Amino acid sequence: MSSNVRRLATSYLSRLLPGRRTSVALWAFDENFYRAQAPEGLQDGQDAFDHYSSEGWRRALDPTPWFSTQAYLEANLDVAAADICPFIHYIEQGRREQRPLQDAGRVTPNPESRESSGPASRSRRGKLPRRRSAEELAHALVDADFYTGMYPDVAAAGLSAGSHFMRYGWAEGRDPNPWFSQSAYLFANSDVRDAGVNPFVHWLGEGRHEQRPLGQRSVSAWGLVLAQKSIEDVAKDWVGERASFHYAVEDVIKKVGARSQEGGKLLVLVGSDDYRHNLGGVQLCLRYEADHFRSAGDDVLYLHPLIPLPMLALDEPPALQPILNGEPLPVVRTEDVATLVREICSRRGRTLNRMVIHGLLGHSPSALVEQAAALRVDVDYWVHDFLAACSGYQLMRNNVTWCGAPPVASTSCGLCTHGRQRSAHIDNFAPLLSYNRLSVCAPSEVAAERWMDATGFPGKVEVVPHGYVAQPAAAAARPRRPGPPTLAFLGHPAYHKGWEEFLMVRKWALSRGDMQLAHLGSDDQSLPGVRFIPVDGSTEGGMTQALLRIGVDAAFLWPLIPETFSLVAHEAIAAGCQIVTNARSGNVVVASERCGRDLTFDDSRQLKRALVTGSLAALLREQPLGPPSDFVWSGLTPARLGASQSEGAR
Amino acid sequence: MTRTIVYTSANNAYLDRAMVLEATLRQHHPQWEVALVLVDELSEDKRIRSALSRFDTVVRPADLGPQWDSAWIFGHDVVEACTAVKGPALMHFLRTGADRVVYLDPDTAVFAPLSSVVEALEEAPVAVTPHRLTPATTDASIRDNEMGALLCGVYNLGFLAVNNDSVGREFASWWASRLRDYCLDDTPRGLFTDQRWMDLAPVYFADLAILRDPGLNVASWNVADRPITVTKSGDYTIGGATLKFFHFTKALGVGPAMTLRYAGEDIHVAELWRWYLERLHEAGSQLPSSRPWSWANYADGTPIALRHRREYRARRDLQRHFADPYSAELRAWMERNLTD
Repeated sequence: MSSNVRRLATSYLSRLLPGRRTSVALWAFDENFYRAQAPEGLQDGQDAFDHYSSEGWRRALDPTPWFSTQAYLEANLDVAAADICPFIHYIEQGRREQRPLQDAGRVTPNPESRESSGPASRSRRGKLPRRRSAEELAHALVDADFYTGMYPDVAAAGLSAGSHFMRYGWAEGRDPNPWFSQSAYLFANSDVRDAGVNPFVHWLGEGRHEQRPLGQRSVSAWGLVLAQKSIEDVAKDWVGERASFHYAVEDVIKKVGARSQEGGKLLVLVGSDDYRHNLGGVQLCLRYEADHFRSAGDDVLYLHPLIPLPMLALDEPPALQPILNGEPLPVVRTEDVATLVREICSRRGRTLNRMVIHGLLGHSPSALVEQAAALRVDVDYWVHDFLAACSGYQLMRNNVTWCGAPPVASTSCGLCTHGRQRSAHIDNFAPLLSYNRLSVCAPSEVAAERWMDATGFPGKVEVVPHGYVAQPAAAAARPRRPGPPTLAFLGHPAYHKGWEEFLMVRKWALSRGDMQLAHLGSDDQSLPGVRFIPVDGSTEGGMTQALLRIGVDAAFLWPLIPETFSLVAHEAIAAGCQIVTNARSGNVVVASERCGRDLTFDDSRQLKRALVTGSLAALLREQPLGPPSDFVWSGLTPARLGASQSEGAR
Repeated sequence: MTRTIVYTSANNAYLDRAMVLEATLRQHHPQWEVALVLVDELSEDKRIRSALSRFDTVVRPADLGPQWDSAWIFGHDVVEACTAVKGPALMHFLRTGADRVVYLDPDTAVFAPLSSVVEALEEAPVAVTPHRLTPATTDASIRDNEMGALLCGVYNLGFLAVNNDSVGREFASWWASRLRDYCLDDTPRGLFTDQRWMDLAPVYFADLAILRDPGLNVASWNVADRPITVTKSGDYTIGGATLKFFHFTKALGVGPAMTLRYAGEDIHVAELWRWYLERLHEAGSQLPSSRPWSWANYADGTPIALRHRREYRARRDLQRHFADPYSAELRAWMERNLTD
């Protein structure tokens, strides 16, 4: 037990409200009683409470003589469906809600029968009272707050939530409460789907007794996995019908205007797409560097593939779109880059500074580094992702599960959508990583460590953060606004950014009414119960200002992969928000811990427990907001080249 | 060097599955000979010919002996026929002088060398894999999987391995003789194609090895008891052992959903299915989209009803009288005499 106390004591969450309640569960736990049940798998010296709370309750073992695990789960189906430890649920929430410790199991159709319910009356009358039918139970278990919040159109029907669900909602695929997903249940139980019956009624009447799976998260993840196409097929979709282009480097050179005044340098920037028109952290980095060097009087030549690809151009070096000081030039072949660069330097009186690479999707790194070698130019490669290890640059096997870049010949790679071309991918990248004038730079320690681990790069990786959150003069905490706390998802609603987890948050927030939700970004999902705030990612400080304007208490940043920097996390910290995240989120958890703004969960299961019991909302209510501040760009190439050159930075 | 033949049995419709199996076998056992028992007429289609050329050997039922001719096939549906020929094919491959013969269902795929099988055959003449290795823990699994095993056989015959020794040959002969006449899907009478027969085998052949390697023959009926983990080096371990082969039953039907039912939140199983369905699609795209069974119809194109097959198989008088069961005469007789 002492080890558990230590664990709880060192957990950030345990210092707060739910942790104290868990401590109550710990002290109420009867270790001798539990061990007397001789739980299978409980080793000598193993913490008994840990064993119960992780697996013992699943085997219907009891934590104390007065608490029946099975009876509590039977009496509280939402707890059973939520798949959380029932004893901790009872201590943390069930007691306050006066939840039954066991199922009364009887309907009370009229006052007379209500009086006659229970074991005593049964013995008096010698007749068992009628149990609730599955239909009655289903009707009673429709969560009105959840249902009307998820489906605002129901109000127009003039029916109660329960009646609407039983009459129409189930057939329309609507969910009755946050813990039962019709689509998940039907996906996992095709015979129920074929029968065309109300899935919730089926589960209550039969499925739960047959221990049928509810599905929930697994179904969405299964569906996502099964829908994945190989990266080669995805690339074909991106390319579509290829137009033919005329490539003549002489035509390009003719367009390069001469410069009246000699001097200055030429910086060659390389990226995966046109940063002027696309949004994202890498594009902002490119813009920052281009603006910096142009404002210092230098030329900036930006090269991106004419046809964007989700992988490297492995068949042949691609055509590139050159953009000189913001003005597009005619298309060139990768093989002509050295000629073009020399001509620009010659015609415009520039000396070549360096080549800075921020993205290589759609490029041929081997062909590009040949051009760099011909120019004898220094190359900086920035670690924004893990593309150097795999075309799945997030290192998610089948775009779902973190893989960490195992050996190419492994079963893991063999099963992955990126697996078949990974060997060619690595071969194409190798000349760049072994280029003798290469510097590798990462925006965080965690990015550097993970990248070196994934690539096996033997050299040094320089850590240069993109920027920092300025400390305001008056760094005092601010009180939060009254009312339920606001939790906001920031950015693109993608699976790997934790959108599925945010949808889970939404379900429980609608049911409990203990949090307000928002989504700040550019991709409106039009979800009832989630306030969408458009934020233009190209406006500096726009996210921070929006968070301050609508009074967001916490940002929900739940990447399924380690983020290399996360601008949005820094912008949220600058807005004084707490950061709700997971322990594997890379620099999100590192940066927010450093500022003392993190609410870090081990995994989505622990998050779910905090949602079901309401402890996340309680945590957010207790936490003051940080002082408003700004994110200050200070890193990237200007920082590497010296403070004197970085004065032109924003 | 030890000569190993691994074979599968399929009609043209299942050729895509056999192609996926063949490719994975080559990857992990490049020295093994891969054979196909083609339970179909030999097509003139170039794409099918090309697919067949992947295999070291292709044999057809008629190659296995006169008692496995098209008249015998008439008495069976396609599943029964493809299953029954496994027995004579085993005898056939043992006769070719192979040191050991392994059978794998066409809808399996190999993910690692079958080392535990090879080790088992060092000692045992025959090796089989049970459907399940541990008791079911949920009512649904008891009914679907344990009661299913009681109904359809304790051992899953998507896999079988036999040594070319006297006991192995005796086993093959016994099994083939039962399959000649009693490879039926007739569970009320205690028969489920070839599988229920194998329940008797551990009694008849005392040294038979029951393989308990959880990495063998993983499928929807046992995946719940065999949690999959992926190591940092990218290896798949299942129930603590290396995943060796997975049985993708009913791939284009309820297979994925059935597996989900028992795999629960194990996303690794979904990844196996995704991979398999992709490979299946790729293999199928190299074949004609329609690949009807050669023995599905009477000579005049009328589909052969299952009850016609049952009647013919059960009645020796019909077999004697109608030497060619695909003829219009037998069809007319059936339609005249079988009114239901």
